[in-house]
Amino acid sequence: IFSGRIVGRQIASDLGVPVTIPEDWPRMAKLLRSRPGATAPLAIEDRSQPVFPIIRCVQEIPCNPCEAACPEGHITLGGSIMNLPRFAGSCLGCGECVSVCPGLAINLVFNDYDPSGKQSLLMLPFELGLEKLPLGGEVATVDMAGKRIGKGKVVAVRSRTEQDRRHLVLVEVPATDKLRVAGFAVRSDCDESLVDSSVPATTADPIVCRCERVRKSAIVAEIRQGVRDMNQLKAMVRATMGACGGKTCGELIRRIFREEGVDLADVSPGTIRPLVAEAPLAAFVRDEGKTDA
Amino acid sequence: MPSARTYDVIVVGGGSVGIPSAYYLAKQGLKVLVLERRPAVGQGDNKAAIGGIRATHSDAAKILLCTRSLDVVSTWKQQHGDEIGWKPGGYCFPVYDEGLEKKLRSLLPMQHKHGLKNDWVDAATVAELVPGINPEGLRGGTYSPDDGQSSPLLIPVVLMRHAARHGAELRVNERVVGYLLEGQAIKGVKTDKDTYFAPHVVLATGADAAEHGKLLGLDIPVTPDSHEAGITAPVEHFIRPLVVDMRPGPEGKTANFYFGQNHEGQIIFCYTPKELFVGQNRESLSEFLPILAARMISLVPRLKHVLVRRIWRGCYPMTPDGIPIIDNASQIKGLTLALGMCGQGFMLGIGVGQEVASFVVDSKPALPPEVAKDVRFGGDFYSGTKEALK
Repeated sequence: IFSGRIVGRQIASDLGVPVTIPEDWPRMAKLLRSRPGATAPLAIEDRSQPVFPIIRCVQEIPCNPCEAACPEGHITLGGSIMNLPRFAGSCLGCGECVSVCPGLAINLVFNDYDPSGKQSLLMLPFELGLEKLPLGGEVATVDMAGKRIGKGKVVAVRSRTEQDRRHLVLVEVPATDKLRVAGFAVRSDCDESLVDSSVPATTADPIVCRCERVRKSAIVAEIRQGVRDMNQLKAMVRATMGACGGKTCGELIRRIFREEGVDLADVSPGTIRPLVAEAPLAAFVRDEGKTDA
Repeated sequence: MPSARTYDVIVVGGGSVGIPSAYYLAKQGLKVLVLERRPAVGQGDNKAAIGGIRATHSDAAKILLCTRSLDVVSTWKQQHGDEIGWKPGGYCFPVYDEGLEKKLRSLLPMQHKHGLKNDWVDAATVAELVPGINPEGLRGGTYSPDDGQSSPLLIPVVLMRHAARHGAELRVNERVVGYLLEGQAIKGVKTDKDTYFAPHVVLATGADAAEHGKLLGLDIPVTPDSHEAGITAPVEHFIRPLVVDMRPGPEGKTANFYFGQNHEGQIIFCYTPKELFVGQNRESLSEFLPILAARMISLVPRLKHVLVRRIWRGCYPMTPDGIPIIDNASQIKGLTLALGMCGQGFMLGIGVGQEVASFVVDSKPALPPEVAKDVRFGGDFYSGTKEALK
């Protein structure tokens, strides 16, 4: 978005509109494209004040909404957008920082929630839809890595019109968990060991070769008729014969052979020929008067 | 497990000529084995072909053989349901000089005698057939409406599948390394994997003809030379005929050049180099597209926008006089030769396949005798003699 501002002004300038591009804009644009910097170990301080934020931001990246969000200016980056944010001073508990962090890395801890000190209240960001949230009910709390910690109770939800996709959820947790809880899982009976990390095959008939619009079923049909030569497959259904020369679908087709139980050692590879990219015929016409090819 | 197998006929070479041969042999009820050294049929110089099929030739044998090919190809989809990329549209030879006009006109009577509808048309008709053709100096041209184009990629696979339904067997990735002879009769073949027996063997090895001749003790006069071709991205159909520009190029490197629009809408093109590239080198040359582009754009300027997608090189298995060898070898009983198609194997293939079936089954050509003598009938290929062939 920021670099778009610069390009927009360049276009206006090319069109003859008198505009200037502020000097620090290109510098900022370059900074915003910075590669991530160092990663610091996560160090969370307990504080005794009534409410305070925990900021789990450990890698130097060009990001600063939290600094801009705090109405008291108590979250600071110390001069460079790449620096890690630091909180110091008092906290209103307004939840602005929780609301703006793009990484959902900030939550609030309310120390003054339970006079007995046994429970704490946390304000956690949540974006998966209120219909999934068991208001008044139980959730499984998790740490920054997503590992299960314990249980929490959803006490209330604060929503805002200007950020309607992200809700601020108030979750009651045992005080002993207050520094570790970074989020929660709604299905507390979820056994992570059963989660299948692979994506199941679709039952739809997708287009595999996009250049020539060849569907998976056409390729499978040829394989089942005994085709074991990529060049023959190309000849029959045109997959890999398009403009990209098989750069896109080549690997997908090999996967389809494997799905069909064919050993890839039995599949002859396709021939790759020039041109690597299509070019108009005119590009090859030489100037008159040049003597050699 | 390797095991000796017995067949009625073994076809060596699964390309433009071998596959139609196998098809017609299998249709007659013979037990056929096709041996192909590449991973699939039609993957040799067959697929390098431009795809044009014309009966418009200047010799009777080629006219009749290609007429047969056209009859089969133009009706295949209706009869069998398979798509083989048939595109009717004819051939057009645009003419810009008087000498060529005289020459082409002089062939018309003979062509008409053989039933061809090739005829002279005026410049306006040529301009209609080839929209955008350079009108400067255009005198007219010949147009043969019954010729057309088809897909060398689809035909061998389709024909082989039909042959298989008639019982033919195909072995790919298998190279013939020797021939089994008993006295002067062929007994079978030996491959790099196994041994097979048959009283008839058909040699349809395209550019490799001479090499197989040596294995048989025959001096088969086929010398391949390579030609480059290319194809574009598809565009809306606008060129109906396959266009042959017979003029040598101003750059001094090309004889004729030809191009057409295939059934997919792609423009496929080729030129005949003035100096031959003898041998089987199939690598692309950087000079091809600059030379081709200059000729193409000069003839049809709007084609300068068309996107070139792929280029390749294929071989014309040439005989010394340009005449194919379709014959039973006189020195070896049971050996049928279908070689030396001189770069017209794709269009001749189906007609030649019918000839091969006739040679194997009836020991004679299917062509009428007065025509069959033109395709080297009765030639002597024994390596001991250097007799000039008819």
